Amino acid sequence: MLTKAVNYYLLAATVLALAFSCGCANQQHDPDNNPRLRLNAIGHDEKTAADVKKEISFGRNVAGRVLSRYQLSQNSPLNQYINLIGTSLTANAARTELQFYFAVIESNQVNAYSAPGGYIFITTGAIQAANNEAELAGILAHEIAHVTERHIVNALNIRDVSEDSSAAIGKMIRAGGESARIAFSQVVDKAMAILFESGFNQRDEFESDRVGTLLLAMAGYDAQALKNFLHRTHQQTHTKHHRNSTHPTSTDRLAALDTFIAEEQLADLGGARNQQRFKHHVNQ
Amino acid sequence: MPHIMLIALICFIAPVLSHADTRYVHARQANIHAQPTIKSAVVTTLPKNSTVEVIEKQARWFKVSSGEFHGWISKLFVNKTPPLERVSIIEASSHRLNEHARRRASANASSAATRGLRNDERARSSDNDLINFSAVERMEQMSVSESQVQRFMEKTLAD
Repeated sequence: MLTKAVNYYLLAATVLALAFSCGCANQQHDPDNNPRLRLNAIGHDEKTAADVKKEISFGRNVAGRVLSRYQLSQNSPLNQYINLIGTSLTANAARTELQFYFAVIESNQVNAYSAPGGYIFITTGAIQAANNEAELAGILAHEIAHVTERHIVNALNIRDVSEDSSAAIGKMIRAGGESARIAFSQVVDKAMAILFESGFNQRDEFESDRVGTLLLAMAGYDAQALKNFLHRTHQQTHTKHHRNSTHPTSTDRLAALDTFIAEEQLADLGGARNQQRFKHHVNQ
Repeated sequence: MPHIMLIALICFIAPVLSHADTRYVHARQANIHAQPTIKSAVVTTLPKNSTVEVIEKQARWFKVSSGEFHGWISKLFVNKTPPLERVSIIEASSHRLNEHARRRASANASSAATRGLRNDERARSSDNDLINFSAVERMEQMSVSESQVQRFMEKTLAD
């Protein structure tokens, strides 16, 4: 009788333990991995060194395409200034495995681009449109965030395929030879289409605005600088012409940034704007 | 029978009890704050690869403990796996890069043929798809040193 009772208790305890462990497993996975929560959460996928090498290799090809469209600025002091601002922002980015590179490209368009692996471009037009160093940093921080959050990498499924049969590039590359190179070239085409035609999706743009604003604040810049830049260029869009095709101006984007800045209490941090240093470097 | 069930019970409970939600600092350094906002006081600063135990989760912040310190850390800084060392692929010589570019141009021309483009379209496609690796190399050579960045950041904060 006693043995039977012990059995029942053990059975009940086992069932409860199983239920509890399942509950823990769900709790462990949901908050970070549920796509619905991703809009409001900032997290990072786990990648191997081989994945990162593939990303850099791919990004290098995309960067080469960007630099075949736009001329790399020969203004060395300006390029160095942009590199100093950008690299100081990446000090707080959670992708220390990457070396970030920054370059000024010759274009009157107000725009900036980022290729996977850490290649960031800003147009001379965007530099001229900024009011101070903090706004310039805001543009760069937004582009850095596209890289740290792996927006193109995830959209095109760029990763090492030596032990994985599902990655898009892998299927093509296993075909080998010329067809592999054609396939690779076509995936680079897709990345170029994201950068120059379709643009990032709204979710990625919002995420880059949020992460970029945090990077600004953590580097000691005015946390409202990106929002201020977007607000001003948004107004110009309505009075003049479309700012560009890949970053459609959106009151939603500005409203989301306003909410984020309020929630994170970033409005009155009083960060640096560095107007004098900006004028010194940009107007020389 | 009781022995089997006891073993089963231990098997289920042990992982649950031993489960700890550990995260690794991926940024060069990360502040633990008193409250889930950058504005709040800094409790301590952790270097890259430090571990924290997650106690509570919010959308953008984790409540954590690290040794004697307790507070909030931005999710931006941490990950479930240890950070990777710096990864680089830039070891190829210029000769190899140029060879790579030639092969890529050839691939693009073949790609155009595959898509059934006429000769003039093929030429245009090839021009558009040129990859300027020499400009990429110049871009990579423009990177700045740690000490330059450090001095720059000090001046940023002093403004």
